[in-house]
This record gives sequence, C-alpha cells and structure tokens, in this order.
Amino acid sequence: MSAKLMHSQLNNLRLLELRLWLLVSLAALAVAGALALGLALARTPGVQDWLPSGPDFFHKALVTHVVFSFQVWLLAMLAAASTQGRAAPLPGLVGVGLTIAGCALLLLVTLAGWGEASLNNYVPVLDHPLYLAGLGLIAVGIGCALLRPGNDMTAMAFAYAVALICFAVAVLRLPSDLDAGFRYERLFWGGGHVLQFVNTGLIMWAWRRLAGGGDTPLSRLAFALLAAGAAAALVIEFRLDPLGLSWRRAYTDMLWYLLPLPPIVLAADMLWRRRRMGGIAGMALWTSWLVFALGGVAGFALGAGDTRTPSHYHAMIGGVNVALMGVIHAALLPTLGRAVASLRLVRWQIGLYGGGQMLHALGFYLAGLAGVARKTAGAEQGLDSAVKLASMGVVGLGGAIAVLGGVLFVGHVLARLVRHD
Amino acid sequence: MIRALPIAAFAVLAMFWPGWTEPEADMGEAVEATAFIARVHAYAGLYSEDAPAGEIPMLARRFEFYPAVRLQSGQSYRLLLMAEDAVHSVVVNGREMLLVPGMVQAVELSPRPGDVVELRCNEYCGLGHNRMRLRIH
Repeated sequence: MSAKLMHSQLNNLRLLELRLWLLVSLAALAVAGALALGLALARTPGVQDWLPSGPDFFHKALVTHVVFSFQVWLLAMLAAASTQGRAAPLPGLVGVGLTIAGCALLLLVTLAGWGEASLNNYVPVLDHPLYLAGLGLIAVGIGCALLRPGNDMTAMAFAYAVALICFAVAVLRLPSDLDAGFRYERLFWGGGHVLQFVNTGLIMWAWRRLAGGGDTPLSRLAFALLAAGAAAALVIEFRLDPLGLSWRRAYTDMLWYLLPLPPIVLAADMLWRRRRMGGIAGMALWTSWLVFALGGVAGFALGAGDTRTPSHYHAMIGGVNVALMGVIHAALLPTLGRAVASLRLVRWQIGLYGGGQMLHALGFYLAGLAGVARKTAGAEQGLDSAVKLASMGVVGLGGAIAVLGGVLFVGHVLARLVRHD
Repeated sequence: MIRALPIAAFAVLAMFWPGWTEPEADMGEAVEATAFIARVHAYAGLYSEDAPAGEIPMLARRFEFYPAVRLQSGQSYRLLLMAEDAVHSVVVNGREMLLVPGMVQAVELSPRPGDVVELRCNEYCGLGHNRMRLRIH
C-alpha cells in the first residue's frame, strides 16, 4: 500500500470518527429533549400512570436528562474536538463504541424504571449497577479519545485525567455503608468540580477555533493555568477527608479562585489581537462571550439555595453551547464537507438560543434576589409578589426561546450529519 | 518560562492556602442517639410553637427540622441539633455545620426584632433536600 493511500485512509478514518462523535453529541441533545418531554408527561394526570415507573418517572427522567444534556453532550464534543489534531483514529473509534454502549445502558435503566433517583450535584444518578456501569463506559470511552497519544488538547486531557482520578479516589475512600444520597453527592463532588475545568477548556478551544489564528504566549499561559487549577484537586484529595466540610468547601474555593482566570486571560488576548471578527464565527464568539460573562458575574454573587444558582449555571452552559454551535457550523461541518446552505437559519439558531439563555438566566437571577428557592415548582415556589411572578415569567419566556433555538440547531445539524452523500 | 509560572503559583498555593490546611470542622459532641431522640420528642410535646429561652433539642431528618419551633425576640437560645436518619447539615446565620447521627452540634442564637433566622440543610440528603428549611424567627 502506498504512503499516499495510507494517508488518505487515515484521513477518512479521522473524518468518520469526527462524524460519529458529532452524531453522539447531537443525539445526546435530542435524547435530552425527548426526556424533557417525558418530564412534562410525568406531571400530567392520567398520562403519568402509563409511564414506566408512574409519577416517579419525573425524577428518573430528570436525572438522565441532565446526564445527556450536560455530561454526554459536552464530553462527546470534547472527544470530537480531539479528532482535530494528529491523534490516531482507532482509540477514538473504540471510544465512540464504548460511549454509545454506555448511553444505551443509561437509557435502558431509565426507561425500565429501575433504581432510585439521586439528584446530587454534577452527575445525578439512578441507584442501579447498570446505570453506574453505563457512566463508567462513557467515562472510559471519552478517555480513549482524550488520553490517546497525539492529542493536541493537553490541558483538557490532563484535567479529564485528574477528574477520573478524583472519582476513583472517592470510590476507594468513601465507606460503603453510607446513605445513597450522601454517598453519590460526595462521590461526584470532587471530580464534578474538576470537570468544570474540562468544560472551560472546551469553551476556550471553541473560542480559539472561532477566532482562528495560532498559539500565542498568553494563550499557552491560559491553558497552562487551566491545567494547574485542575491539579489543585489532587492536593485536596490527599490533604482532606472526603466526608468532611473542609473537603467540600475546598472544591468550591478551587472553582472560585482558580477557574475564572484562564478564560479571562484567553479572551483578553484574543480581543487584543483580533479586533474585527465577523460572520457566523464572529457572531457565535461575541454571543458566547456575552452569555458566559453574564454567568461568570452571577457566579460571584450567588445566594443561598435560591434561583441565582441556576441563573449562574444556565448562563455558563449557555455560553459554552453557543460557542460549540458556532464551531460546529463554522468549522466542523465544513471539515466533513457538510456545511449548511442557509447561513440565515444558523444566525437564527445562535440568536434565539443565546438570547433566550440570557433572558432565562436574567429571570432566574432576579427571582433569586426576590427570594424564590431553587429546584421548586408549583405552590412550593411561593410566588407571592409581582417581582417574583414577573421574573419567573421572564425565566419561562427565555427558556421557551432558547428551546426553540436549540431544537432548530439539533434538527438542522442532525439532518446534515445523517444525509446520504 | 510561561509554563513554569502556573506551576510555581500552584506549589505556593498548595503549601500555604489556608482552605487546604485548616483542620476538619468539629463534628460536635457524641451522644446516645436514642436518648437524644426521646428528649426531642418530649420537648416537642411540651412546646409546639413559641419556645422559651434556653436549650432546644432538635432533629434534622428527611426533609425537615423537628420540632418546628418559633424563637422570641430578645431571648437567648442554644439549639442542639442532631441528624436522625442520614447525614445532613445546617446553615444558620451564614455558618454551616455537618450533622450526623449520634453527634450533637450546638448553635447559640439571640434574635432581635426584625431578624430573619432560617435553618437550611446544605448537604444533599435526598429528593426533598431543597425543601429542608425552617424559618424559626
């Protein structure tokens, strides 16, 4: 076989891997959307009795909705990003297979109604061995892509490895006889925090792809700071007791002090060097910065148990998602030869999703200031003033607009990916 | 040079950051759990709402603080809190303590008129965790 032919086959495998990771990412969003519909059905009298586990389906669907829309979508996108370097495609293709198998297990347990739901932070779970096995397969599958030789995303790969170490250390250190809720909270607290460094690395990667241009000393510093920040988790694990309060607070401090600087350094460097950024990439970049900055500011003024917390994370996730939407349209689909024809539709997707998320987060923040508790619904919310009612109305309106943008995006990109060439 | 900077900063933080070196917070005083629970129930039978000044034994359990007492302005109280069924925590006046079965944590409170005092669980304890709060003044 000639060198040219081998090179061509390698390229084809890389493109196949990228397409598969994108399909997994987008399918994760589609599944999360379908489960969100299930959440609504689980609250509908009459219909709820026909669901796999009756009214309990609400919490089970909520768990898997969060896992797919937050963890699987972002990590599969990270794996898709890892195909852009010189990495060998074979471990990545194995990773795709493991991730799909893991996702199938999560769905099986959810739809069969097995296991009790635990709405712990970061990675909520259904307390069932097959669900945990599914999460494990996904973690290994993503690891196959990220931790392979030749991957250019060193800082994110390092942070991901630290997160896996934190999960493993927690499994070993936590006593087996703990109450399930507390056990899962502590099991996923440390690694879950470190995954926020991974997600931040993902948005930083997306910003750089959208802006174009090569490495600079400041961009290298930003990614080195990110890796150093994630490494702090190792110090916490080796110095503090995972059952104590200091351990829990140390992770909060870690995000508070070490996470904001890397994206700020990178954004400042990009703004300094490239003042004019237009087109779809420019629109996605500016929208992402705006939504992400709003979430970042909200993160420094969180309340205690009120809706300012969801305001923060909806805006942060919104900022990441807008950047990823932009990268998919501006860089990844064209790489696959599947660029979209209608840029107008892409602008609508980014505008609706980004604008909707901003309204959604702003409404949550105002509602939190007025005293609305988080994770409550119906009468529990205590919407006893005009400010609370109006701000929660803004939450609903923003959410509906963002969902519209998200549905347009998922439908459009999935159609491009499965199109027969 | 650039890569060395964060490594040096990290080493300094790792060695000297007080958040990583502070000793684990006191978990409270060990008690006989069954006897403490009986004491709480006896107290709840006597004082259903307005609590007299002094010690108030309370339980944190899914998903409430029991009994649901009301403190009076200008009085001094000492809340004695223990978890009954699983690990919980209590946040009151910006301070948090972990609550575990068999260990009692004490909180001194002297509410003034207009003060809002609320007990809130800040350690995930189950699906009703976000409901686990009690306004006591």
